[in-house]
Amino acid sequence: MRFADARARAPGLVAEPVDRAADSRALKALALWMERWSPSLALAEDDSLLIDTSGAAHLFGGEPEMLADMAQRLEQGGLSCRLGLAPTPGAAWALAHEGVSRVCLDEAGLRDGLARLPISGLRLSEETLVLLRRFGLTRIGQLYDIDRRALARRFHSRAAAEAVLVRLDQALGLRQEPVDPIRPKPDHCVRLPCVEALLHLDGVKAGLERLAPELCARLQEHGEGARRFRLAAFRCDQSVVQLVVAAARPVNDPAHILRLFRDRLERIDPGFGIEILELEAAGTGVIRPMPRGFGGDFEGDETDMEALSLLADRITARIGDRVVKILRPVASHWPERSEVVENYEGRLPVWDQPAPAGQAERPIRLFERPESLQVIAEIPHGPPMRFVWRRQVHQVRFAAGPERLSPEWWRPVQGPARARDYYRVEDGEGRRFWVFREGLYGDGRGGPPAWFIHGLFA
Amino acid sequence: MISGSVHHSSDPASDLAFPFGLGRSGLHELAEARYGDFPALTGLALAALRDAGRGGACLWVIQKTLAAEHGRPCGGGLGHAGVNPGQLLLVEARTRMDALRAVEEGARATDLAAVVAELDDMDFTAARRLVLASQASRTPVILLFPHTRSGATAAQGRWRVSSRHSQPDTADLRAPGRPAWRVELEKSRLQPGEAGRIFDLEFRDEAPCLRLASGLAARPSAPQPRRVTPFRPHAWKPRWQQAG
Repeated sequence: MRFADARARAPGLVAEPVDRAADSRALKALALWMERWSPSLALAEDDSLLIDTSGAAHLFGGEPEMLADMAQRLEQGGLSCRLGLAPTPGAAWALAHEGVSRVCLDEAGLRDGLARLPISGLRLSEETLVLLRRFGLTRIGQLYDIDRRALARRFHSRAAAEAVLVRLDQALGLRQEPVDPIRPKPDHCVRLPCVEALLHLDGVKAGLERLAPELCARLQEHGEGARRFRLAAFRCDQSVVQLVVAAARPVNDPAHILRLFRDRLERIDPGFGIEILELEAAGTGVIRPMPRGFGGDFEGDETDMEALSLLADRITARIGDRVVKILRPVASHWPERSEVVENYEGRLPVWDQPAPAGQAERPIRLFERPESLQVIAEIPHGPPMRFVWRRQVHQVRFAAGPERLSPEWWRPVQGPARARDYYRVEDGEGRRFWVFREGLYGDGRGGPPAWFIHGLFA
Repeated sequence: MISGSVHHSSDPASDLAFPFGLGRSGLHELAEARYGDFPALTGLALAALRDAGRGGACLWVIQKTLAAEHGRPCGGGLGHAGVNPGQLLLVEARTRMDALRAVEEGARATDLAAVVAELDDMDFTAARRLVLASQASRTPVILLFPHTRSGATAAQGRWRVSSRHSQPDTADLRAPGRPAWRVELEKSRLQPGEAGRIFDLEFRDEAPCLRLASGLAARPSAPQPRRVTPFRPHAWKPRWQQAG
């Protein structure tokens, strides 16, 4: 029926465009909230959620009670739902889509329970369903007694026949069905159901102060610490707010975890009230005492590594993830590759001192990528006499060099690899620059050499 | 030419002489004299840290806009300046507010050698907060600002730094020599009378690495006319001959 016809019959009809992306986002948000019943959830179709409730039902007084609880809470939020519970994902899907809502099937009743459902409960394509109906097969139970090879022969394509058998086996539990959960299971998890919904941040804070020591006690039992902590607040309006904090090294100190959450806690909006608080630990690892001081060639290396990583965590908690970095040396003479800026992971790099023999002084500030210069040089292979950088003319007073660096031929590079001649120059105002000429005249690797500035000296 | 010597001890009295506690305690500001003096600030901060000789890691906060303009600290260069780049913790902050938060956390930590931050500007309240945090933890804080920095500050001092011609290398007369800077103490809370004084500094590899290239620091603050002794090669005698 077209929309015009429909509106002719019901003048009050309102039309809205379908927004699949928003639907999918809403379903995912709902899925996070459904974790209050079980931590293992998967998105089954555009409109279905699959919850693995193995071992969780008894917490809610049994399977029928759990389904009733779910239905009641979803209806409170104005969501209509169809629930089905069965030993296999396929059977649960069939029950939810084709059966009476809130049916529970156990292992024994699985075969009989599914027998009366229409074949559209088997998650088959539309063409296959049409074909099956043409054979007069409308109920799942009718498929049980048909010889499998005979069934396969009736389909023109083998894939379609396979699909029917696979889906049937999956529904009956004769074949395993992999489930792709939306989130990996946390390593450790503690939760605090609130007797009365929390309406203020003070309550959330108090709850966190109870959860953190509990979680840490559990971590300490295993002799572990964790690097990621997630606080989830399940609100009464079918939504979840979550906060994630990360640590540079595994930690299991409640005070530190509270400190990391402290500045972010205000981002939690209690809304109409928070029913459950949950704190999870992920990325667990064994806590090893750090050696104090690496005994490098520098004096005063007595850095307290633990205090440093706690400081990095506090900064990360206040500013954002991946802001604390280190400079790690790399065995390469090529300036762009000789050191990398890396995320700090609780360890400081070890630098060899002094610098490799024969290496000229390096600048104190380095540009991420060299900037182009216009240069006048006295002789083609000599240092610059005058150069223009950022529209300013610099007259060179002193120059040292060249330090010739050949490209690393063992690495793939784009374009012709040209050697660089680095010079340390000082201009008329006493500023010192690290400039280089890429290539030589007549080296047969492209046009005339180009000049760049790569760094600044103190 | 060189008559000044800089005393190095940990007692607070030495903060009354050059470099007035820079890198040793409290909050200090280094500002560019003109656009392009940022590497000079970096070098001076590193030299002050090395002279202070506090062990431990150094927190270096960078506001990303400045890093794009002046480049990031280079580990190889730090090593040449005598500071262990392995003990450096870099924080890349997107905004000034983020950078200030990181500096405050660092200033509160007790076991850092120092906190160095590159910021585009800062208001008085933020500076006061940092001063209090730094005093409580005894962690020195050095802030590097572009040349636009002006106005009142709660910091212990503000230095205007510019690059200065280096003395040519003795081994190669065409090569630039050791880094040299001209530093003006623009504001000082510890020694307000010293404000406005200019120090010509030179960096050298041995300790202490900050050397006054002019004798101003050893003298009292009252300006004295500089006596210029003309160079007379024939009047010069070696010291042992003078004594005899």
